[in-house]
Amino acid sequence: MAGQETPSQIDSLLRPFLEAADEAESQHRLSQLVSEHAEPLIKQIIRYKLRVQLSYEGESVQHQDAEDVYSEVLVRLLKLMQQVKAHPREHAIGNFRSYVAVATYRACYEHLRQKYPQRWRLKNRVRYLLTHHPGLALWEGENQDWYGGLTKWRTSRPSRGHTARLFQLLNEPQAFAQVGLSDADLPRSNPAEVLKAVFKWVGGPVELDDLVTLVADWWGIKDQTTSVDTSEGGPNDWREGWPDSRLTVEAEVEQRLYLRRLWSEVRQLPPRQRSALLLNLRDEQGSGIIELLPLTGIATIREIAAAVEMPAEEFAGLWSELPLDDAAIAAHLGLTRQQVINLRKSARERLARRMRALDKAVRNLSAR
Amino acid sequence: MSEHLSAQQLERYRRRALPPMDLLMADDHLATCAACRHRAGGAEQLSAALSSLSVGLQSPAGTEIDHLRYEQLAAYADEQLDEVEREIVESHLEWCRPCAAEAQDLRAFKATVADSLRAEAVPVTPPTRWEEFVAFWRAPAHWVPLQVAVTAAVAALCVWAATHSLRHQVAELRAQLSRLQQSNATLQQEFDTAKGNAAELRGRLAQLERSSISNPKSEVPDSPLIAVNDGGQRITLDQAGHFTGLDWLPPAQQSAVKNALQTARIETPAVLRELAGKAGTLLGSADDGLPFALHSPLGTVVSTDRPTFRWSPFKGATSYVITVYDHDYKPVVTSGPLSATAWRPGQPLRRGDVYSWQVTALQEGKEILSPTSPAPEARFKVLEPGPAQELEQAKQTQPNSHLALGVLYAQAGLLAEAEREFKALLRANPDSPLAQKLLRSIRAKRR
Repeated sequence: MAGQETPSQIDSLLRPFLEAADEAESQHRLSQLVSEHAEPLIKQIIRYKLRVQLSYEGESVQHQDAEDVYSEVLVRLLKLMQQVKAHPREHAIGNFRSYVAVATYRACYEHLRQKYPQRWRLKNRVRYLLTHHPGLALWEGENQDWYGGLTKWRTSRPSRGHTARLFQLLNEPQAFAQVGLSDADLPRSNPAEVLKAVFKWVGGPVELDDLVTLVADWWGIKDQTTSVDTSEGGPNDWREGWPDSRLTVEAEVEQRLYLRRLWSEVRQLPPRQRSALLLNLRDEQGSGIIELLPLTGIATIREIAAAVEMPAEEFAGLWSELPLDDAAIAAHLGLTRQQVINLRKSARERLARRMRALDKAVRNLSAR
Repeated sequence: MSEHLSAQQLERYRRRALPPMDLLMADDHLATCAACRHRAGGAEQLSAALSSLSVGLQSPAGTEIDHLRYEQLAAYADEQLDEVEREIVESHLEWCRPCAAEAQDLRAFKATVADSLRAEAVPVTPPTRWEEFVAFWRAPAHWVPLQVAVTAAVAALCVWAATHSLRHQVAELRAQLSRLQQSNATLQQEFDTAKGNAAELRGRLAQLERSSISNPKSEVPDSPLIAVNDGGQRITLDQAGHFTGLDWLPPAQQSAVKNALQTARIETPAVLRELAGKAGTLLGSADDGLPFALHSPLGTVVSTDRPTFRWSPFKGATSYVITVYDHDYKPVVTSGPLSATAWRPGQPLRRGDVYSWQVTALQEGKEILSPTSPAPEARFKVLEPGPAQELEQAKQTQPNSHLALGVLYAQAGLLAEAEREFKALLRANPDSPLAQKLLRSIRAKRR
């Protein structure tokens, strides 16, 4: 990437890394960028969101969960940096720190969601009540914090006094009585009434997470903390089913069969997802690769045209312009750009899952 | 097209340079002709093509999955998604078990609360004042103190009724006393000023006398209006406003010192009001959220970015943990368990930011916090880098100029340091009303 022009919309923090003259300098700049700008921010957010103590200045993190999230964010970040380096225009990051912050918040939420599914569902319920009940409200504060309370408090944020009162409810055995509820009433109480009673007693807004902690305690919702099995949760291991790349006749047949299966799955996608995927088909380096389908004998141009629901002649006219960018696909399908991105993502997730399932079935058959 | 494709056609096909109709014809031939596909490189590139197509058609990032956001789940439960969004959500739900479980849970919950939400759409009758009063009274945490309070209030009401006229007279007498005290304070202030002026005049008279004795023919010099000894120098301000003795200071800082000499008052930054709250309370009794007193830093600006926190011991405490919060109440730094009642963070705090701090004492397994509500927060601010550097420079240039340093510290909001300098100034000028006033002024700001 040395010598390649850096787009102006890229955060200036990334420029030394992107404009590095050689690999050694590039690695040095990346390491500097991560240690000075990303790591402190990641640690700060993890400390705040997971409420664990993280050590400073390169000492090891003391909490396994925090370490997991920290490593995950770092790995994702380094991966992204490789992509940014290879294709700065397509992976332009306008605000590096903001990107790191959002990625870390997402990783924290994802971790909490996986580790505490019951609590996460309860949080959804509380959010639902706050967003659907006429007298209640949910609003976002700074740093992706969410506050809940009565509608008239919407512009304010929780004070420490309010938080202290909320935790008083959590810590004192007579808490139910203080908000006008009794232990026996609680399971029968209307959840919205419970929230209103809490807000009335607290006298101001509270952080959503704190409110969920209280309600989880009252309603006896506890998660068994177990390690999360992601083997069927997503396409993490989507490369596992690939046939190996030995150039033998047997391997070639196997590879061709794999690609045919993949094409068959593509044709079974919903039409919009097919179009979002095929009209933007690229390899890891971002280059268009749709011509590989006819060249390998997997699908003809007419078949691809049918898959994207276009007349063959029209599609042939478009052939030299492929891959289209998301805005062009959005205009063609009458959607927003974001919808195109989401549809393509859905398509890829589905294909990965389907291919993995097929591969599993084939292996089971072979094993018998 | 029955004939094989020419090398040129294949090259143009690969480069996507064929016109639409020619492209379709060539493609129709390739679909049936393995030899031409082989010539075009399709078979040779099969392995690479497999890799590329697999990457292109499946998950590009490999490991990153975007699960459904709450907003998508709620809209899905409410059946408010448009066709495209629903397709995206349902595609995800097809394979993602956690999201599917959440969606199912939210739908079930919606069904449970649907009736109550509809009912709640009707404006809720607010509880009457009597109901609120009764609910409050029934709270156990309030019950005993409220009983006492109400009993006391009733007793006070009886006393009030019985002593109404007497109270009226007492109120009048108090008002008179207040007026007299005010008048007395004014007189005392005038007396102090007059005393100071007299001392100055005596000094000037003695100087004049000495001058006239040593040089009877010389004219009376332009004697200073104010003069103080400071760090081995004589700092003077004459009637014409000429200021001498602090030429080493930059003009803006000279002006601040001159203003302090002329008005005998110390200017402090507005941020101190924000920091102060009811800071004095934090040093007071152990009641009202202050089981033990906090000493410093409180309601002030500090020049160091690693201030030392000090507090009083709490009886029976085995250890303490101190947490420093930023302006958004987020913990910035926390100590480990401490046996001492002072601590200095290992990390510098960010300059220019306002912080608050709280100490947790551990006593027989219980955590006792100070301060807590309703006590005010223990706030302080770390001086911005620019002013910190200016102060450091002034300190290094003239470490003994107590007047200049006192004014500069006060101007930056470093009240303890300013008081220390004005005390030193008074020691060097024990008879100077100005030094006394400056010290009084800074002490008043610290209260």
